[in-house]
Amino acid sequence: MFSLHKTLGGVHPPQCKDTRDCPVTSIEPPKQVRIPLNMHIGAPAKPVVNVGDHVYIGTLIGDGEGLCAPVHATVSGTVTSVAEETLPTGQHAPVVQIESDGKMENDPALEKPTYSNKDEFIECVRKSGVVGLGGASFPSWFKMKCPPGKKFEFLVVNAMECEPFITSDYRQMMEHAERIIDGVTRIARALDIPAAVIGVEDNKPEAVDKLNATIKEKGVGDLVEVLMVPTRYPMGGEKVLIQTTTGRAVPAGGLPVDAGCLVLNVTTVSRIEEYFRYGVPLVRKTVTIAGDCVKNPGNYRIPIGMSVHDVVEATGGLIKEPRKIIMGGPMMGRTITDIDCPILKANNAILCLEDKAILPDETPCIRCGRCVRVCPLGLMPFQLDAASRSHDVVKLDEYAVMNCMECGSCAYTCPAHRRITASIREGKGFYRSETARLTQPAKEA
Amino acid sequence: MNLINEASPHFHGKSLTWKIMGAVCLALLPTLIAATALYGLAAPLLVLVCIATALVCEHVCCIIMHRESTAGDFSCVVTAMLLAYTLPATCPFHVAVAGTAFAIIVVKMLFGGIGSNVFNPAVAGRIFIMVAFPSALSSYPAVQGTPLDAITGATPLAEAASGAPTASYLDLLLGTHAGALGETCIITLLIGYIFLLVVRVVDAWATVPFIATVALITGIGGEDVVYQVLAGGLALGAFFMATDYTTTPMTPKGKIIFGIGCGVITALVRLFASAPEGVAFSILFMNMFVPLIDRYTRTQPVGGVKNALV
Repeated sequence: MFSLHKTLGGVHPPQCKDTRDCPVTSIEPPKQVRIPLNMHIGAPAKPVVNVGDHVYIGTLIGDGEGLCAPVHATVSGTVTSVAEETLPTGQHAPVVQIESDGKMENDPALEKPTYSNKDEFIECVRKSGVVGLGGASFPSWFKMKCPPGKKFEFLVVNAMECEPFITSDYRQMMEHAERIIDGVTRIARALDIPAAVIGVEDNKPEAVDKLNATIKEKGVGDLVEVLMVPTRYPMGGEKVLIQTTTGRAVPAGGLPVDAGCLVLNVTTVSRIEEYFRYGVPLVRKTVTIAGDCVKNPGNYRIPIGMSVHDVVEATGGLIKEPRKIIMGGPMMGRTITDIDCPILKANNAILCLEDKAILPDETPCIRCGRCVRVCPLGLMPFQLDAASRSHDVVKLDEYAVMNCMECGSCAYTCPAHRRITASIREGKGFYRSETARLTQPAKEA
Repeated sequence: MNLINEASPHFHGKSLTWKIMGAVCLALLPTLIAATALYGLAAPLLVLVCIATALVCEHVCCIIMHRESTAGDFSCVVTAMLLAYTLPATCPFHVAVAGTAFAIIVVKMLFGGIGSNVFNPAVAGRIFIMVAFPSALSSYPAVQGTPLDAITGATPLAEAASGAPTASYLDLLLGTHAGALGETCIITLLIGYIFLLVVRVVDAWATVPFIATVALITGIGGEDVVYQVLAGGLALGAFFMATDYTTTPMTPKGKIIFGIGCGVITALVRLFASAPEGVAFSILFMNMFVPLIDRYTRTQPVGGVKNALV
């Protein structure tokens, strides 16, 4: 019942998915992990353990009210520090440091969750600690709470993996197709969603075959469908994905639910199903380690909170000195300058690049219109770029700056190498504070 | 480890300003060869003089304006070549130098340099020469090899205006008639334009409506349509000047409006004004409307706009 719908723009960056045939392997567990409690969008979790406490894998170490996700210990051992820290991302949050006892024991208190209605199901998802694992890190349980008066008509599973280099979702599909299909079925049934679609780019035909075979085997073809879409960045952008699979546009300022969709990343679905099957919350993450500086590129199962330095060492180390280390893909990932930075829940890749990601200097905009052509959301990036740089809040408003999802297509294609995306990102921050100031009621004299 | 901290995206596509401008220069080369064959060595010499002037002017302007020199990005070479192409091969060098200097210094750099100029520098330079040195543009050299008594000739459009066209359609295609050095040979201009289309440097959103409108209106006005399309500067203007990035609208819709506007003005000038040719005027005139056209032909954001201020 799903068919391909037209979307705008897009670019074709080199795929660099050399690790696609590297099965997920475990690495030597770390001696120590540092787990930040703000690995999700929303309020940071509050620590519920104290220094000296003994924890197991899966023991709750942080939780909170409202838009928040619980955080669990990822190694067994002793809590050595709980302190507010400034993370390499610039945010402040409590960080729980755990010294491993080397046993890597699961918490004996963990048990398979049970549920009998929608609310209990969502509470189970909350307890799993799962957040949007495609990179957005929005608490998954919060998404599942459908606001009154709205309805989920489609469950859209994001298996596009359109970023270059990253293959962790692909490996998930190749190795756990059965778990994914079970997860999709479970979530759709629990939340009364009548149809589910898994969107996969056509550069992964093996994954599509695998998923289709599993659907057939399980006889859930009337509920779940796989839709193969053309490989084009950013097909995995939430708004683009919804438009491609359902033909609907998420209204400006709205959420996917306003288009009747619940969107979950394929690994998110797999992790939720894993929790329902075994009762183990999100404590490990499959991460693609790649780039020309890495000795053994591949996909590795990594305890959350392990430092990038330890991860790289445990996979065999570096063969040359990287100039840029990127957490995530090269299109939307963030550079880190501190290699002791911990692996977060939503990290799906660590890229160590020498000169491939070094950008030339900016030159003036020549108004060639390429950015307008490639914008998947029909925006005019060059205008937003100019408005951001001149702090023109009215123009930012007029050209819909908040619609931008910062996919980077405009900057990728710009012949003048203008940092359009970075400047729009700044423009958004400026716009937010400025509109708040301008629209607040005038103070009484 | 000395790690760079930079905002995403960390990858960059292959397009580069100098490559784009270089492609335009390449696309103009076949016409230069044709011009050399048609009008002798004076043609490439004039082009070289314009290019040298443009490079010097741009570089010096950048130094005075305390900015990194943009002379190396080939954009001023494109301007210089286009300007030279609108001049007769016999144009005195000092006139060409003055025109190019005006184009680069006044029309381009004083408006802010590459990407910021309102008017197409080559077109404005050509009109500057028309006003300041009218005699330089009053006679066009005949094609090499014609009898000595025909050293200069009237351009086909001038002949058509006076009612006695002598050039055949084939002459118009090959450029074997009197005219500006780079506007006569339609075949090579077309080859260059198709090359730019294939490498996706330009599109046809402005070009096709421009030519179609000229054909339509001059046709209604009772002129020979093939003649009107092939003769004069229409091909050069529609292929290379109405497709300039900076001085034309951004969106396909805007480009179509721009093309139609250029076509209407060109046709009206040819039909009713005393000048035989109106391509340059039309492009310059429509350049003024680009900000306005851009404003009213914005793209529609997916999902609509939620304004907080308006």
